[in-house]
Amino acid sequence: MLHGGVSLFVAAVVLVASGAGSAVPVSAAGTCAPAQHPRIAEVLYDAVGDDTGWEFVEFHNPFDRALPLAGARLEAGDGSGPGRWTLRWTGNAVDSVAAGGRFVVGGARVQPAPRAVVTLELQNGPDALRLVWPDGTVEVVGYGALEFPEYSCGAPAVDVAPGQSLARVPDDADLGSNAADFRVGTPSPGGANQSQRDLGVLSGSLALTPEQPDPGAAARLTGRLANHGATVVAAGAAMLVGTAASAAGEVPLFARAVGMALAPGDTVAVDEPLALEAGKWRVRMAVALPGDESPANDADSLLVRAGPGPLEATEIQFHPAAGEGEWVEVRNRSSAPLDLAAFTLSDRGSARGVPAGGEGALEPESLAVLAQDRAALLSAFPALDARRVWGASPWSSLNNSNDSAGVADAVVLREADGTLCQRVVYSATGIPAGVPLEWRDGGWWPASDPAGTPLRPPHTRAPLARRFESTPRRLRAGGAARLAWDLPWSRAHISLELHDLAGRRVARPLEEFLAPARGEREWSAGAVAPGLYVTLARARPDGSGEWIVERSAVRIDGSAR
Amino acid sequence: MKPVRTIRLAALAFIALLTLAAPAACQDFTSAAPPGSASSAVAFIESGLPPIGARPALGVSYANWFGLPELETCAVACVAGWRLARVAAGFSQTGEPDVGWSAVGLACGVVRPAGGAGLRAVARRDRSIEPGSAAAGRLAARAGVEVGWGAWLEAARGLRLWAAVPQSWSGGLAPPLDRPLEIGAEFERDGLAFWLTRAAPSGGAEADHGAGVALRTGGLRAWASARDRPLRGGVGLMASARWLFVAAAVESHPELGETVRFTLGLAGAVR
Repeated sequence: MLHGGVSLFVAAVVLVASGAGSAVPVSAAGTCAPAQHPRIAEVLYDAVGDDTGWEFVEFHNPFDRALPLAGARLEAGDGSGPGRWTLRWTGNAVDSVAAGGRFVVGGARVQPAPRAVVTLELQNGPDALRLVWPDGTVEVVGYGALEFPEYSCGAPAVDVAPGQSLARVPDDADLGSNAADFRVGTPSPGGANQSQRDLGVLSGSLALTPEQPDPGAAARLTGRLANHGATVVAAGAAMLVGTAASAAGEVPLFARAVGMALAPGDTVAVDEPLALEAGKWRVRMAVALPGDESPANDADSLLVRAGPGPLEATEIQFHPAAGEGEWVEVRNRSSAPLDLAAFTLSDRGSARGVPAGGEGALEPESLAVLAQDRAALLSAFPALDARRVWGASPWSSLNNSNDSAGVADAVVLREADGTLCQRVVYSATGIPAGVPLEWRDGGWWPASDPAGTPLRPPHTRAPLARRFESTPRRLRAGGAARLAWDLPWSRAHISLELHDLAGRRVARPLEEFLAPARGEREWSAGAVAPGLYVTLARARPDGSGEWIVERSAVRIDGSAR
Repeated sequence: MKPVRTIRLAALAFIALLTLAAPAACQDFTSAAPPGSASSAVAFIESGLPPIGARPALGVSYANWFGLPELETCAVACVAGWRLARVAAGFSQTGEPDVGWSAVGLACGVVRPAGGAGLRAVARRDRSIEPGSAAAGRLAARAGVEVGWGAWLEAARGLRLWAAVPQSWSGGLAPPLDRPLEIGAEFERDGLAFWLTRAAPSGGAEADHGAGVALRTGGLRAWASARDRPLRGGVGLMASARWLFVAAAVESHPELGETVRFTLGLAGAVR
């Protein structure tokens, strides 16, 4: 095994000796899988992070006799223009591949250590590799959307994501094109690309629904199993096992036989009911198949939380109108102080902002504000305790208008390890410009104070003597009044109409909107002519139920026309 | 018990109720009567349609709009006639002090057997003037006046047509209700009457339409009516005996509720 400077030195010597950096012109058309030579079986050209030392190319000899590599030239192709091939490695006289064996050319960090250590400096797709043999045979492997045909054999293979390899599956595949022969794989330098027997949990396929279930409530863990092996997995041959681990230990969730037979390459969806006690869990799904040759892909896991997290959002300003920038008020709902720097804030996207700039831990039941622009917020609200105002960077700008699904955006709080604390999905419908959303009466509603109440709890309303109250009862033409309500339901649909003394409906100042049990909203007389009117306020529960209707008189002052 | 005595007792009870409700807030000169009729002094001032009879008469009226306690109207008016001329004057009050107003009304007109025409004027003043407000310092901000006319015609035997524009001109504080051109036709034969009405709001808004049927027998007249925008119905009953008549009507609005009207006339001309 070669390490560190030794491997780099060896690589340098090999490169110098082989004349790396120059490629000879090749006239023969590339083949996909040469009949008398070892073949390119796996390529890792894009490692996670810095590629240096991690890239490799694996050759496989599918035949029953050893084959030499002497004089074979490995060249990298730059797909951005024609004829741009650069030599990366040349086989020495002593290099050969045993019958059924593999030969890896790669960087010093590749494990197990390559037979030839070379810094390959391969490009991410669309690019190509080719292996030019002394007898004129050329094998080409192209990946990504290539423009020039010389860079691939038939259709190019897919361009893989960082950390994944491009693997010939099965190892001796020869289906007439790179696209058919190669697929995305888990890097396996020196090993078979496809085991005979390999059932795994498809990486990244696990999901918990709902994402943050209530403690003890029914939830579903879904995922996909994939038969990566070359043989059929019979029905009932494998066991699917689910567990949930917390600081207190691990508890079993489910265990059952996989009831379907899976042909090579097949995947199957699994959907398992479960219930979790309150808290943070690592939920794991594993598959156990006797004789499985690749245990590394047998399990996958998720960090999830049942019940509310320690930090929750209490007010969201997603469309500031006074230059204070967006901000989110949060509350420590746990019994212990929280370090806000150990949480992240994001929208529906993947960028997670880390709080900074505030001071001290957030005491239980205390409020803090995460701001897009801390200085601007403190300028707009100079009375705020600056120690509890934190900036968050990068700030994911919150959308102000809904998408086609009626959702504007989401505010997502996570712990530093990615465990979800809270996801608030909000709609901008019916939220007056500049008014934040606040959590009260069991829902997200326009803030009772239009300017917002950062670091203060929502304004508490006094109960009304009636279900509806419109004040003032006398207003000027074109003026505004406020409709307050106090309803027996947690959520209600409310509307307001104006009728004249003849009973004709003349205006509908408030179209039906969803509202909490208590609240108020401004309405405008608009272009309604001066006179005496009857307001008709209506409410119905969100769902089914009886209407509540109340009428009252309102006078709109103005001169006769 | 004789019917006349029964009516008298009912009338006395109604007067007693009005007396008890004296402090209640009021409005203009609405009355319990079928549309277009000129059955009382109150109705004359409200529509400008002069009554046929020349005898002096006194009328009082009460209305509760859509069951709202803050919207009640009380009105009192008298009418007198000499030969063809008719003159009426009245006073009314509507609504609680913060939204209501007081009004005085005058009407004059001429009547012939084949028709009549009259002018009406109503002046209003807010019941409550907030000290220091614009209304306190400027009369036009707290008071208003409207002038209009009405006319009816016996077009054929039993066929009566009428038109009224109660707000031909208005100034100062806007009137509580927009009342543009109102037209109607009534056909009566052997105590059975039918009528149609149309009121066209100003500003080109969609017109309202009404229809009704009334039945008269002896000193009793009962009617049922319907209107659109929105569709609604009402019923009324009027009873008269020598120097007294009393009428009550209720109209039900599908969303706003019931409007109830009572009218009492003394020595009035009951048509």
